Amino acid sequence: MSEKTLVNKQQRREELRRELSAQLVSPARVAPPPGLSTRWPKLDRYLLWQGLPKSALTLLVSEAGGATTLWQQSAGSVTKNGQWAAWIGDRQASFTPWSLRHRGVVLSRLLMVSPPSDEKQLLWAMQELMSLCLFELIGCDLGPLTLREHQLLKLKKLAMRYQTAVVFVSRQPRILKSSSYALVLHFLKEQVHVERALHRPTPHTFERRDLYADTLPLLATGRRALCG
Amino acid sequence: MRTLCLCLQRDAEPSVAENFLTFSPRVHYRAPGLVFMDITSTAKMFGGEHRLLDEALHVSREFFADATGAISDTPWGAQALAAEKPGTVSLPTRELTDLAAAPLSRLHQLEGLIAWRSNSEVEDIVDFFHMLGIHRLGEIRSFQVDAFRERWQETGGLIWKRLHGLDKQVISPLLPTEALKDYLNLDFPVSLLPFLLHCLEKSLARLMARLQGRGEFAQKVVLHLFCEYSDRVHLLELQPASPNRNLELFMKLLENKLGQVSLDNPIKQIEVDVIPCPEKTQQLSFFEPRVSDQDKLQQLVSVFNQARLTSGFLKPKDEILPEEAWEITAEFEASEPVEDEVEIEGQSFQIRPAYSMALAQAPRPSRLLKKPMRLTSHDIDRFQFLSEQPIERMEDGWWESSRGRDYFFALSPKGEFVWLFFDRIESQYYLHGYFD
Repeated sequence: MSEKTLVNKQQRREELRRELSAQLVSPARVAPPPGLSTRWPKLDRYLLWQGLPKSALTLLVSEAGGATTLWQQSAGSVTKNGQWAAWIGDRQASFTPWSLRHRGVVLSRLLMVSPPSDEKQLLWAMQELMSLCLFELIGCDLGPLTLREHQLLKLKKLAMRYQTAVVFVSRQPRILKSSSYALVLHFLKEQVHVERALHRPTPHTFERRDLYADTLPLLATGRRALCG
Repeated sequence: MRTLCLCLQRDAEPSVAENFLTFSPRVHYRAPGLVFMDITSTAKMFGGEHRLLDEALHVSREFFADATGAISDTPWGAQALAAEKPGTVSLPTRELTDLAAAPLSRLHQLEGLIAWRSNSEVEDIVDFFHMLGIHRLGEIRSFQVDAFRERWQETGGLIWKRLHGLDKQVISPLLPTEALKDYLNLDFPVSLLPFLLHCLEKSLARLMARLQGRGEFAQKVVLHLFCEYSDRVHLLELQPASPNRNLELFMKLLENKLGQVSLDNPIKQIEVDVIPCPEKTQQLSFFEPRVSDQDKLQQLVSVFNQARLTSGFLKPKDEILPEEAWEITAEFEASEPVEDEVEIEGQSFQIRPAYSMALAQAPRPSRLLKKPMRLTSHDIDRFQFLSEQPIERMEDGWWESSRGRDYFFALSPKGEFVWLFFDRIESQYYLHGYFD
C-alpha cells in the first residue's frame, strides 16, 4: 500500500470521527441486549446477552446432562425477581420441587405444563404462554418431538413480539440446530460446546466442572443431614 | 319511592331484568322493553341518582343501543319522562311539575308497571281534550275526578289519580328463577367457524350479563349444536379451572373446542345452558390492578385443561416415595415448613421432633423419572457407582407398597449423574432420576 493511500485513509478516518463524534459512544456505554442470568459467571460473561437471550430462542442439547441445571438456575434468578417462568415437561421425567428449591426457584412463580401430544399442540401451548405477556422465561423439554424450520421461525417471531426467553432442551444430539436459534449449547461429558452464539466467536468450549460446582457440596450436606 | 325507568326501545325476554339486579333488588320488566327499578335505597351506593342512571344506561346499551331512561317519583312518571325528556332526573315531589308541559299524547306512557287495557281508549281521551283545545298534561288536572270517571270509567279515574299523584305502584323484589338458557335459531345454517363464534358471542354475553346481575359465576357452560342434516347434535362442555364469568375466557375455550368439531354438517340451532354457582367475592385494594397475574394464569390453566394439558404449580406432599411426594395444583398452595413442635402445658413442655426435617436438605435429582426404570445386570456394570454404601435408605411400612430402597449416586456411560436404587425385595436395581 502506498504512502499516499495510507495518508488518504487516515484523513478520511479523521473526517468521519469529526463528523460522527457527537453520535459515537464508548464501547463500555453500549447496553447489551437483554438476557437472563444463568448464574454460571463464565458463560454469562462470554455471551452478548450476559445470560440466556430474551426475545430469542435457545437450544440446549443435553447429551450428558446439565441443561436442566442451567435452566433451573436461570429460572431461579427470574423468579427471585418476582417474575414468572414456565416449564413444559416431557413424558418420561419431571422436575422435583426439592431440586428447584435448591436452585433458588420460587415455586409460586413457576408454572408447570404437562407434555404436549405433538408439535402442533406444543406450538399452540407456547403461543398461549407467550401471548399472556407474563412469562420472562419459558423452557420446554422437547423429548421425542422435533420442530421444523418454519415452526421455529414462528416461535422466534412470537418470542421477539412478547420479549420472552424461549429455551428448548433436547437429548437428541442430531437435532436440527437451525439458524433461528440465537444460542446453541451442547452439553458433553466434560465440556460444554457453544455451537452458536450471536456476535461471539464460535465454536467455543467451557469446562463443565463449574456447572456442577454447587451440586457436590449439596450432596455432601445431604449426606451429613441424613446421617444425623 | 324513587323509580328508574329504562326504555329499551324493543321487546326483550323478561329475564333481561336480571341484568339490572346490581342496581336494585326491586326490578320489574314489562313488555314491550320497559324495565322499572326501585332505587330509593340504592342510589347512594352509586354516588347519586345521576350516576346510577348513567351506569344503568351503559349496561342496557350493551345489548340495546337506543335505550333511554329517566328517574322520577313513580313508575308511570318515570316512563313518561323517559319518553318525553330522556335522561331526566326529576327531583323528589317535582314530577307533576316536570310533566305539566308534556303533550297530551304522553298519556299513553302514563302507565307504569301495568299497561293500559286498551290504547284506543287512551287515544279517545287525547282526541277529546284536543277537541276542547287542551294540549298539555298540566291543563287537564283542573277537571274533577267525577268528570273523568263518568266519561272513561276506570281508566279515567286512574288517569286523574296519576295526574294528582294519588295512585301507588310498588315494585316487588325480583327473585331470579328462570334457567340460564339461551336458544339460537339460525336463519341460514352455519358451517363457518368465525360466523358461528360471532353468533355465540352475543348469546354468551347475554348470559354473562345475567350472571353478573344475579351475582353468580358460571361453573360450566353446556352447548348443544343441532346440525341441519341427520338430526346430528354436537355436545360441547366448557369448564374453566375455577368458576367465573369472563366472556373472553369462555370465547377462547369455545374457539378451541369448536376447532375440533367438524362443521361439514352445518349448524342450524344452538342451545346454551349455564350451570351457575355463587360468586367468590374479594376485596381489592384501590392500587391493585383489576386483572391480576393470578387471573391471567387461571384463564391459561382453564384453556390448557380443556386441551388436556395439565398445568399448575408444584406442591410437595407428605409421602415417603419420591415419585409420590409432590403433585401439581391449579392454584399455588404454600407448604408449611417442617419444624419441631414445642407443646407447653403449665410448667411443663414437650418437644415433638420432626424427624423428616433433614429430608428437606437431602439431595434429590432435578429430573425424576415418573416410573423407575428397571436396569439389567449388563446396564449396572456400565454405571460407575460413587459410593459402595447406599447414600440413603427409604423404608415404608410393610403394609404399604414400599419394599425398601437403597439409593446410590452413579455416573452413566454417557457421563450423566444419576440416582439409582436397589430394591431389597426384588434384589433389582432401578434408575430413578438424573442430576441433569
